[in-house]
Amino acid sequence: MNFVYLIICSLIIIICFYFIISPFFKPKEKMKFSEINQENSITLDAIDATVNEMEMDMLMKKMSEEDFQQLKQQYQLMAEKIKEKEKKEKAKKEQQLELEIMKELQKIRAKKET
Amino acid sequence: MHIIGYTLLYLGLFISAFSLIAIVVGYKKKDNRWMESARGGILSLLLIAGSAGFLLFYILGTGQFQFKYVASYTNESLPMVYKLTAFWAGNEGSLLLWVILLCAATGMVIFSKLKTNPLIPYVSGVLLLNILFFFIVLVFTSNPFKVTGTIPDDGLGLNPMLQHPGMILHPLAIFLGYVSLTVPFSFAIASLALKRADGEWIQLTRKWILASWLFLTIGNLLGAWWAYQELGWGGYWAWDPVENSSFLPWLTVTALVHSVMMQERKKMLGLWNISLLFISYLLTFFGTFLVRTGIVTSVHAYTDLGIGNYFFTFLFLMTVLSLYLIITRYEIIKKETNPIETYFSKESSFLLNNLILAVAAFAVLWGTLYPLLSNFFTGTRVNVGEQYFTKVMAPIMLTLIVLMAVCPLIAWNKAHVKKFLKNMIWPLTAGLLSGCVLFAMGLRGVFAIIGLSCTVTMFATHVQEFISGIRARRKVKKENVFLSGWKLLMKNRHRYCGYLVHIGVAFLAIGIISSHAYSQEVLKTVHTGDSFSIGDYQLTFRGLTKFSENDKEIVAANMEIKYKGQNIGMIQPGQVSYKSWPQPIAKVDIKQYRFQDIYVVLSAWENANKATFQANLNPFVSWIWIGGIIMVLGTLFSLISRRGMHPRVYKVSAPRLVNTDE
Repeated sequence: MNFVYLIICSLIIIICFYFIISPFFKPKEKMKFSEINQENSITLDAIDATVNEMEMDMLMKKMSEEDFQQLKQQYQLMAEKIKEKEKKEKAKKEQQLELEIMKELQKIRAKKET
Repeated sequence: MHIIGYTLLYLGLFISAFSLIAIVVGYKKKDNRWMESARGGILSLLLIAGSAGFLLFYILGTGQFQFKYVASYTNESLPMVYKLTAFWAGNEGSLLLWVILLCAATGMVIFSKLKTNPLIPYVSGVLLLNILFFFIVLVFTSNPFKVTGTIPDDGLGLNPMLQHPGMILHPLAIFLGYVSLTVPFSFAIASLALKRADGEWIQLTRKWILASWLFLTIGNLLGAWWAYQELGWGGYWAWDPVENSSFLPWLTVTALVHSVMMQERKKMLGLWNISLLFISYLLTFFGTFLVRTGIVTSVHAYTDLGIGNYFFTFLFLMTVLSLYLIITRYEIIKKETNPIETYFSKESSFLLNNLILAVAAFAVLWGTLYPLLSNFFTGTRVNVGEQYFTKVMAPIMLTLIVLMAVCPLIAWNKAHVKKFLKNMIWPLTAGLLSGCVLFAMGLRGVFAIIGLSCTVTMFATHVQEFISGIRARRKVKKENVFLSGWKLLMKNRHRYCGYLVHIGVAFLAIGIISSHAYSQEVLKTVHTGDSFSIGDYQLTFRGLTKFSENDKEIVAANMEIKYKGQNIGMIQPGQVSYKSWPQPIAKVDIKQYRFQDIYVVLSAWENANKATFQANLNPFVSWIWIGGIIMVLGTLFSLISRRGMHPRVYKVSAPRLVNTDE
C-alpha cells in the first residue's frame, strides 16, 4: 500500500514541478503590463452612475432642478475632458502602430532588394 | 497515507515560498518566465491545497483513527455529514480550510483577465505571503495529518454542540468572509506600493468587498441561529470573544461597503477607505489570534497548539507594512482625495454612518479586550459581561437606525433642508403612529418603544423610496406600476439592492429589540399533569420518556401547549447523553406561534413524573432570521449585477445623463 502512496506523492511532485519549470523552456519574454491612466481615476461609468443618481434625487424631489442642471453640467464637462484625453491617446497609439508597420514594410523591402 | 498529507503540506510550503521569490525575481528582471513560473506555482498550490482537503475529507469519512485529528474529532457512530464537517472542528482542519479558500481566491485573481494589470505582481506577492504563512503554521504546529502511536479502536467523537446543521455552513461562511477580504487588501497594498492612490483597487475589488460582507453576514447570522438552537440559554448572541471576532470585521466591512462608493464616484475618503480595509483585514487575524490562543476565555475554545506566536508575528508584520505604506504614501493619497463639499449631503451622511460603525467596532473591541487589559494593568481579570455590550451598543445601533431612516432621503452633492423635511413627513408619521399604537397595545419600556418607532420610520423611508422611485420612472417612461417597479430594481440595482438590505436590517432590528425588551423567562419544577404559564401560553407536563438512538440516550419531556386555552401542539425538550461525551447536552425545543418563540429547556428531573423546566417566551426572534434572509438576497442580487473585476475604466462612452434606465 505504501508503494501506491509513494506513486501518488511522486505524481503530485512531478505535476507541480512541471507547472513551475515549464515556463523556463519558453523563449525569454519581457513582462508586459497594460497602461495605467492615473488621471482618469473617476471612470465614465462612475460619472454616469452619479448623474443618474442625482437625476433620481431630482425626480424624487430631494434636489432642486437648478442644482441638478448645474451639477450635471459640471459632470458633463468632466466626462468631455476624459473622452477628449482618451481620443488623443487613441490617436497617438494609432500613429505609433502605423509607424511600426511602416518600419516593418521598409525592412521587408530592404530584404527583397538585397 | 500520512506520507501524502505530509508531502502535500511541505510541498505547499516550498512552492508558496518559491512562487513568492519567483515574483520578486521576475519583477526585478522584468522577465516574464519567472512570472509564469510563479503562476505555475499558484496552479500547483491549488492542486496541493485541493488534494490536502480531499485527503482530510477522505480520512475523516472513512474513520482512519491512526490520524490524531480523526481520532480527536470523530468516532464510528458519528453521522457521515458530521464526520465530514469535523474538517473544520479543530484548529488544524480549520487552518487547512482557510489556506484552501485562500489558494482558490488567489487562483481566481491570478488567472482572471487582470493578468496584465500592473498591480498583479504585488497582489500575487501579498496573497502568496498569506498562503506561505498558513502553510508554515500547518507544517510546524497544526498538521492535521499527524499520526498516533497506537491506533485507537474508536475516536473521541465530535462535541455534541457541534453536531448541528450550523456546523456545516457557519465556519465555512466566516472563512469565506475572511478570505474574500484578503483580495482587496492585496490590491490596496499593491496600489500603495506602486504609489497610486487612485480608486482602481476599489473598482477591481468591489465584488470581493461585497462578497466578504455577504459571507460575514451569513456566518454571523448562522452562528446566532446555531447558538439559539443549541446552547439552551434562551438567547442568540452572548458577546463571546469568538462571536465578537467575526462581528468586528463585519462592522468595519459594513462601513467600507458604504464609503467605497464615495471614492469610486467622488474621489472622497481615500485615506479612510484604505485604513478601514487594512483594519478589517487585520481584525480577521486579530480575532483568530485572540480566540485560538486561549488569551481570552471563550465558550467556543480551541485547543491551543502554540499558534499564537505565529499569528502574532504575522499580524505584527502586516500591521507594520500597512502603516508604513499609509505613512509614506500619505501625501499622494491626500492629493488624490477630494474633500466633502457640503455638510448636508449624502456624502456627509455616509461619513457619519462610517464614524458610528467605527465607534461600534471600537466599543466591541474594547469590551473583548478589557479582561486582557485589566489583567495586564491591575493583575485581576475583569470581564465586562453582556451588560456592558448591551448598554454601549444599544444607543450606537439606535443611532445607526436613525441614520438609515434619514440618509436615503438626503440628496447627493446638494441637499435642501426644506425638501428633506418634506420627504421625512410620511416616514416620521409612520414612526410616531407605530409608537402610539405600541403604547396603546400595552407595551412599556421607553427605549424599546423608541427603538421600534425608529425602525418603523426607517422601514417607511425605504418603502417611500421605492414608491417615489416608481413614480419618478413612470413620469419619464409612462410604464405601468409593476413594470416600473421591476425596472427600477433591475436598472438601479446599486441603490435599490442596498435599500433591500436596509429593509432586512429593519426586520432584524425589530427582532432584536423585541426579543431583548419583551422576552419572558420562567423556571418551574412540575409534576406530571401540572401546568405553568408564560405570557398567554400554558404549558402542561405530560411525563418523561426515555429512548436510545445510535450512541445516544435521550430523555424527552412531553409538554402540551395552549394559547389562551386553545391547544396549539406538543413540544419535546430533552437531554441527550452521548456515550462518547461526559456531560449530557440539553436538547432545546422551540414552538413558533404568532411571531413568538416558546423556547423550552429540560433543566433537570427527579423521576419520570417530576421535572424542572426553563421556558422562555421570545417575541419576534423569527424576524431576525427573516431579516437576515432579506439582507442576503439583497446583497446577492447586487453582486450578480456588478461588473466587478473588469471595469470599463478606459472605454469611451457618452454619458447618458438623463436616461434613468442606465
